Amino acid sequence: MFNSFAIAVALAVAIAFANPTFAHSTIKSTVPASGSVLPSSPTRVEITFNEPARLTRAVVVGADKVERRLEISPSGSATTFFLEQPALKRGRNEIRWKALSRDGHPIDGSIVLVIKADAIPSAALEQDRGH
Amino acid sequence: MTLEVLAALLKWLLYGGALASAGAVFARMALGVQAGEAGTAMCRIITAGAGLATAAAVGTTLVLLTRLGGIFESGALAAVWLGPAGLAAGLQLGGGLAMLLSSIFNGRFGWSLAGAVAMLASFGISGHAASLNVPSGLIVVFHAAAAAWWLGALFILRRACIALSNVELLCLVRRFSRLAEGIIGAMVAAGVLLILALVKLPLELTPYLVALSAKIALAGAVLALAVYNRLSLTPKLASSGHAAARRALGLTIGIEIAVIAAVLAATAILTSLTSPHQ
Repeated sequence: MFNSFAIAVALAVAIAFANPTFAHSTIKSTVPASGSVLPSSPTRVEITFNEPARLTRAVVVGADKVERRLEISPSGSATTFFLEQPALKRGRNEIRWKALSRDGHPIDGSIVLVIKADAIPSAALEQDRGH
Repeated sequence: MTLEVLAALLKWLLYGGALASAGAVFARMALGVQAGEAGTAMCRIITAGAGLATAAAVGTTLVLLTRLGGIFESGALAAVWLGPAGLAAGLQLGGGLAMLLSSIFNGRFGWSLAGAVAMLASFGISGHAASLNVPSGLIVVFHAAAAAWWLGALFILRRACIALSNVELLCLVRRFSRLAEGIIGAMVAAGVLLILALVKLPLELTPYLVALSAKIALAGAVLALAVYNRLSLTPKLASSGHAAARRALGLTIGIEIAVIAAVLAATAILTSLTSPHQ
């Protein structure tokens, strides 16, 4: 009986301390940050999660309401992803993304970037936090 | 119905089918019920449970792909099939098919057992606890296996209340009780360890905690019924009032099975609609 108790205690300690970080991935930051007003389209958009995740789909919806797919790199599991050459148009652009969290939850969110020809580049008031 | 709610519903059906089929495999082995009418009844439960679990696993995977961008979306397909979610789905499909085919074609018991193990192992690969670390994943598998055995044994006992003689029923109930004390006790201990791993202090009234509390309350109700059966009804089976005790036992076992179904629904909500990290 003591052996069983000792094994249970060892398991409890192993569980409690083996991995102190949570597994549910959430957005840590985006570059440019959501809400930014830019004079021209960025050459790429960077999305960083707090834990490894798998970004599965990213589309941009412009002021014309037309949806356009964006290429994601790297493929597979990573903490930071890049959307190269998003070619954002003038006006409001919403980048909608979907990802698979490490614990198997589907997560999604959006990044809003406004392209305004005479804008002075500004940081967003708050970063995109997604789900 | 939103995709989130559909995912939870499919998860409930998956849990129910998996535990019923795997539990019937384990329990009939442990309680020595292989041949005769009882063995045939267990085969039917394995067939129905495995079929339900397999179909629910397919549905769950399709819903997940849809939520990630689309069934034919290359990014979604890669994320699911090249990761833990895909491995879990593969084990559920393979395990379900193994149990289903073995049961339909009166195949070798080894196939049923392998299928049951694969099905339950899938729950330790993807999910809140599984993504923490390997010990947590193993404890989830153990917790699910013990719960499956309990459910399978209840199916056997309920059938026995109708079909067996009083002497045979009493013998079976005593055999079950001897095993149940250890297995159910270990199941509860595993559940406590998982709560310690997933719920962090200080406690906050989150949807996860509400759903977890509901699951614990329902599980407590099943345990209370089990204790009532053990302490009150089982001794009466050996007495002169055994006919009434037999009927009452059949009724309370039926209620236990129904409440276990509710426990699985709470678990599906926990794993699909909430997160311990919110």
